[in-house]
Amino acid sequence: MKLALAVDYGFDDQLIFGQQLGADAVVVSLDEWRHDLLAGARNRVQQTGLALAGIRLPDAGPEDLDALPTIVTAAGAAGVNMLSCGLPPPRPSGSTEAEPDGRGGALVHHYGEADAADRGTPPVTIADALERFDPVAAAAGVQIAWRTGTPGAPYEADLLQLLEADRYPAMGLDVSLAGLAGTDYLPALEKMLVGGRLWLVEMSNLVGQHDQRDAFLDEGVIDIPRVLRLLHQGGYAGSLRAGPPPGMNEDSAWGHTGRSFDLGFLRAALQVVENRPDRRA
Amino acid sequence: MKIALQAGESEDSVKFIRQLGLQHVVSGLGAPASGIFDVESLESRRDFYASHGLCWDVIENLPPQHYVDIMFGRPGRDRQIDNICRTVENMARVGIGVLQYGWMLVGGIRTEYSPTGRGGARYPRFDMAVAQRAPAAALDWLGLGRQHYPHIPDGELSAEQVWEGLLYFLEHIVPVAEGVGVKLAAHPDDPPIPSYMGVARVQASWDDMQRLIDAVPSPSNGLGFCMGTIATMAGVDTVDAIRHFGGQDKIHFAHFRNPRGQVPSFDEVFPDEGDVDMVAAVEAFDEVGFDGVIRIDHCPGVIGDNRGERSFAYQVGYLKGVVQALQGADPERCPETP
Repeated sequence: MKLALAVDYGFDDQLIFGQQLGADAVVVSLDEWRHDLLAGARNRVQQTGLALAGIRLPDAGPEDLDALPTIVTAAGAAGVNMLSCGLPPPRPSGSTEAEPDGRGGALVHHYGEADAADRGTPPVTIADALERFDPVAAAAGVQIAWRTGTPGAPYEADLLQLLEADRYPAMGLDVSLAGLAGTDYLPALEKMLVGGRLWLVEMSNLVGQHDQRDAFLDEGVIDIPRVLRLLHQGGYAGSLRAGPPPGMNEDSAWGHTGRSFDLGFLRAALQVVENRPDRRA
Repeated sequence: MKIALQAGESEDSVKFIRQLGLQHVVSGLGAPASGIFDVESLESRRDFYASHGLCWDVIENLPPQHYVDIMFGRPGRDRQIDNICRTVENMARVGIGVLQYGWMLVGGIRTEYSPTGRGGARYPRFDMAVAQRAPAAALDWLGLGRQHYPHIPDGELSAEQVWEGLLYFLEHIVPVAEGVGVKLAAHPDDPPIPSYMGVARVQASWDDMQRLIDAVPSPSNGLGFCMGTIATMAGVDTVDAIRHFGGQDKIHFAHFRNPRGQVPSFDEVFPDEGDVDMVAAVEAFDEVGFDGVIRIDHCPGVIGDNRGERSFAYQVGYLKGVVQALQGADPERCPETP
């Protein structure tokens, strides 16, 4: 498993930061659907000595999906072999303003039951998306990991079923752990591991089972070390990227300090999981 | 173990610590001219931390000005002994259980702080050859221009002379500390070299630390177990040292830091890349039943990290990750203040 940092395209200091804190790889987020940025993104990462675990595209609208074949082809040509795509918001978007309700007054978003009804509608069905984009991705040598992680979200069940059918070799999963908070997440992850279609994992956490808020990795309902052990035992070879952390006092907008904490936590837990048997009760 | 950070007096300082999920802090109190930490000052600071959900467990450090006459065997040392005894008694009154001190007559030394580390991170470095070439500069390696301490010594002092001062300190302070239930924690010499500028350093080896413990046997006489310093002692295995000294219940306080190399030269690096197997170290602390405070120590300089918070946050996250992965979440509890 590779420890990855999620960075924004064009912010080179984030690459340096990731390298200093020992990240093995990065996932570069683009804030628009642009095929002409891919080669540059790959080169910037390559020059730092980090690995590029993937390019994360914004959540897709109908017009964006029309551009996806061009982007996939450009990715293949640029040597970018993993794209992360989302159809609707992968989990409730939560309260729009972060509030100082987290640990020690950290800024967090809240997610309530009501948000579940506000997830938006996918621009296409996931079945149509897989049918349409798998051939072009396979031809370009690119894998597309569809963002998911919310049971009951409009397309998750369909996606899992479709992948189990094994008809779409270039299609896989990018799962957000926070999206699984409050559910029986270990069996769910185990199911995703079967078949080798779990390609990206966002390490994130939430406090609360129903009314939830953002959390640091060590404090939420997801037992992160246990997840790492399950992934390790299941042969997961992809990357683990820490999600955006709660906002810390006087931290940068990007959250350098919070990300430092989460990266340190993940690195240590990985070292234990990869080198020690499970002695926890 | 109780994970802690050093806390200041500001709201920002304690907020940062709480956001990292810590419940324990260590702190000093400046150096009052009286030479004594009075009850009122201690209570005020303790209550400030408690109001933010933090427990103040350790005074770090006893200001060297408060015992410099004892260290150098000068007139006035008995007055300083009396003052420290009052401080210890006052600590007991307000429920602060550990007092760390160092016996570094010529203080902590590094010779570089250059972007030579992972991704260009700045690693504090010590190289004896450089320190010998530019000794005065090595005392001011961060360029702070400190005036009062450490300082260039007035004369040479042998190991016997330095031990004499340390033993005088222990013989007079330990009984008082034991009487009120306060633990003393002696920080080793950093870097652990036998002498510098003609002044011996007598807490620079495994045997030195054991001699200190044996000199005045008492549950109150023990170590401030600085992992980073002990790891740089020539030939010392830190995990073995945790088992040896922790097995005697003599680790009264600990620092979490991982270096690469041992004297005569070493770098302070990130905890995941140093010479010490930090997972094995945490396991060893657990084996010996260490339930004291372990404070995240200084660490490399990270891009844009003017106040060091990114680097400290990484180390806190790292230690929490080791503990949770080994033991599961174990909510810490702060004992009620008296």
